[in-house]
Amino acid sequence: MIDQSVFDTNKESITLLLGSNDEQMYKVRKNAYRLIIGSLTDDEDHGIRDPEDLSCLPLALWILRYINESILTSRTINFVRDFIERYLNSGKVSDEDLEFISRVFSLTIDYDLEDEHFLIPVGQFISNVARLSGYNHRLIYQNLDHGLVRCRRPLVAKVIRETFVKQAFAAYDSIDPDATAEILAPIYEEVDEIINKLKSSGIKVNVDLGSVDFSMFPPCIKEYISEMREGINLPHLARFTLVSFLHKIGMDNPSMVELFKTAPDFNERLTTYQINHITGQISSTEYSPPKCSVLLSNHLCYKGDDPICNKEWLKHPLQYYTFKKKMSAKPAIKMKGVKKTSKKFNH
Amino acid sequence: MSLTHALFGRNESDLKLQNLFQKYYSSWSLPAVDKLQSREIGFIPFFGTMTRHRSFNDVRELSHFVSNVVPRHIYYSSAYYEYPEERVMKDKKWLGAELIFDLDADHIPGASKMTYEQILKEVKKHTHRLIFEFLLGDIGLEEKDLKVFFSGGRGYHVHVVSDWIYSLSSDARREIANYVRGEGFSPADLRRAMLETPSKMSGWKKRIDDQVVNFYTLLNKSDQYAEILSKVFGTEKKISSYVENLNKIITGKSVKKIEVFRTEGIEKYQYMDVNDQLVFSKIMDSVISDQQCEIDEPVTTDIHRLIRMPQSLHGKSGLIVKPIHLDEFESFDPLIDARVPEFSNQELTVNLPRDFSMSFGGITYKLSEGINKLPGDFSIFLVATKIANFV
Ligand code: SF4
Repeated sequence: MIDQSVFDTNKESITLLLGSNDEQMYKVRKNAYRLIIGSLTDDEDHGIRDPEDLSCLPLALWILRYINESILTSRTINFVRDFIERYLNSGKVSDEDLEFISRVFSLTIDYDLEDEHFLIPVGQFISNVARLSGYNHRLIYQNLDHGLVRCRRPLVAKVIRETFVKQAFAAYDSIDPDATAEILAPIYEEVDEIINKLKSSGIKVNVDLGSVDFSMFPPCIKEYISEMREGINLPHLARFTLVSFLHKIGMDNPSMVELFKTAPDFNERLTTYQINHITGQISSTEYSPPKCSVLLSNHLCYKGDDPICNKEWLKHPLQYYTFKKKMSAKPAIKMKGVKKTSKKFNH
Repeated sequence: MSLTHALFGRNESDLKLQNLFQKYYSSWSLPAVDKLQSREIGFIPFFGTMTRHRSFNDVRELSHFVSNVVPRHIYYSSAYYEYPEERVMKDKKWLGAELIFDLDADHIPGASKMTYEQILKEVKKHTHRLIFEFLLGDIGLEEKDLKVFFSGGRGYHVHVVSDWIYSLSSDARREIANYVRGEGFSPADLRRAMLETPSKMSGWKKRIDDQVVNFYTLLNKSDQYAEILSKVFGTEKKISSYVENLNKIITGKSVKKIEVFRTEGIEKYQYMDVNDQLVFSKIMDSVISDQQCEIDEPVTTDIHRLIRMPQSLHGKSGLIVKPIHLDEFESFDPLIDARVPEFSNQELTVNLPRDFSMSFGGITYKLSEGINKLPGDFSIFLVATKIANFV
């Protein structure tokens, strides 16, 4: 069973753990390295098999805080996130236990015996799934009544896993980076080993966009690229948009694979397959990026005050790119007629 | 052009309007603004440009400032900050924000052809739906969580102040905005979502399913439904063949398709063929357009928004940004209830460039072009809306 100790990043607990020769403690330490190294190398053997193995997470977070490499942190947290989701859907967790686990993450999800569905308070639902794309995560498609979303287990598992991610990052942020070196001193060799593996893994590559002009990109595409560089995991629809967009404007597939290497859940084989699929090299169907309206309703539009995005005629990210290119080719009329249209306050 | 106007760019009508506003603000009933010291305050003066990033320790301080400066418009932030007076957003340190709904004529289809009174009525209908159907109904908020205001202009503002709301991200707020707008449906996904529904159907899916049942129950007995059929199929012949098909028994079920379609619940969505799906898509559109709320989406998703201060005057109408108790929402009439009572006791003289008629304060006026002596509140409204000038 998962319990609150997964976020116990208390300095004293870690010191105790590292100072002990107890076999159990030794296993926890070993699991923490295996978890991080497995996330780094995409190794199937992460050392996390049971929820009990998650007791290594606090130490893993301390090590990650020390290494301070956002891609590695995201990858590790995402690995645990996926483990939790699989576990909750695995049939090993009863409905009552799921209610209990939700409370471990400060959620108040209940099971309605009569209707055999779970009830999630709407605020907990939207604050945790808003970043996931797909119709099944949108509030309009839910059975919403008097503040409760009535749904099945897979959606509950999604809400819990997303809550886990937020809380894991909060626990990570709560660790004082200046204290890490001293606290982790007893295991400095293992930590160094992780750092060396990180250096040789190549997940920190600088992306060369080649002939493609970044400054012409719409805010959404720029945001996806920069999120990926910061190690934030992109929702599927954002990746799809990014790949189809870059393809349409002429980026070749190997450069795209390079670009995706910075993604926290990068898997070369899968990424190459997906890119080849979207760009029509596998199925002969070449996909186009979605329209702005689709991105907007999936929270993937970042137009803000951008003058071009706020034009009524702008319907598509590619249209943005072509417009900007045209404008830059004719500097004399550059941005003519483009005004800020968004209202700053209300009348 | 008058001398003041020529010298200072100030027109006399505006100066007079400002004097009248000052009378109101000198005995201002202090607005009940919670956590005032954590909010950013902004003003648009009568003459000059907007000031933002102000903060006040209490309502007395704010009141004093307002009665001295007499702005044309006053705003406060829906957000609470640690340092509301900082100029750079990041430095303000955001602590949370109310969830705001702005319902305004700009978003009502056909508003440009309506009179001000018609607009107010139409926006009120949407506000009513927002409060009672969506916020108190589906979203499950309680009356104490809502603060409703007449905006002073052409609509209403609804503020949600429940604890779980404050920390919501902009994305999470967009989920709620899309929900009340019925935004983001696709017929194919909706059908899929219908099939995944528990026995207790609710929310938009229930609204749409009810309408599907209604449609197949009344079919060609309703004009609206007949229109849907003719939109989908075009000719009478095609419509009859569609209806004929509906009356056939479903293979392996010993029941007519139309009977399944007339029954509430998810079963019908298994049996929809291409034509049924076309009809379904039209029914979906009609439910959305009949039952959605037209809100200004960017206001709801913005977690740093400035919004009109309760009890302040709207500079372009002279009406009060009036708090409305939910019990009184039905009977609320902005053109009676949002007037400044003190102003109605004095008469003022205005010059109308053309004939003009409207109801205000319960009286219907049919005014002729030229000089008119009118109750102060109505005169202020006419001048603030730029329909007339003071003389
Ligand atoms: S408006 Fe369109 S192009 Fe601009 S950020 Fe949004 S989705 Fe991208």
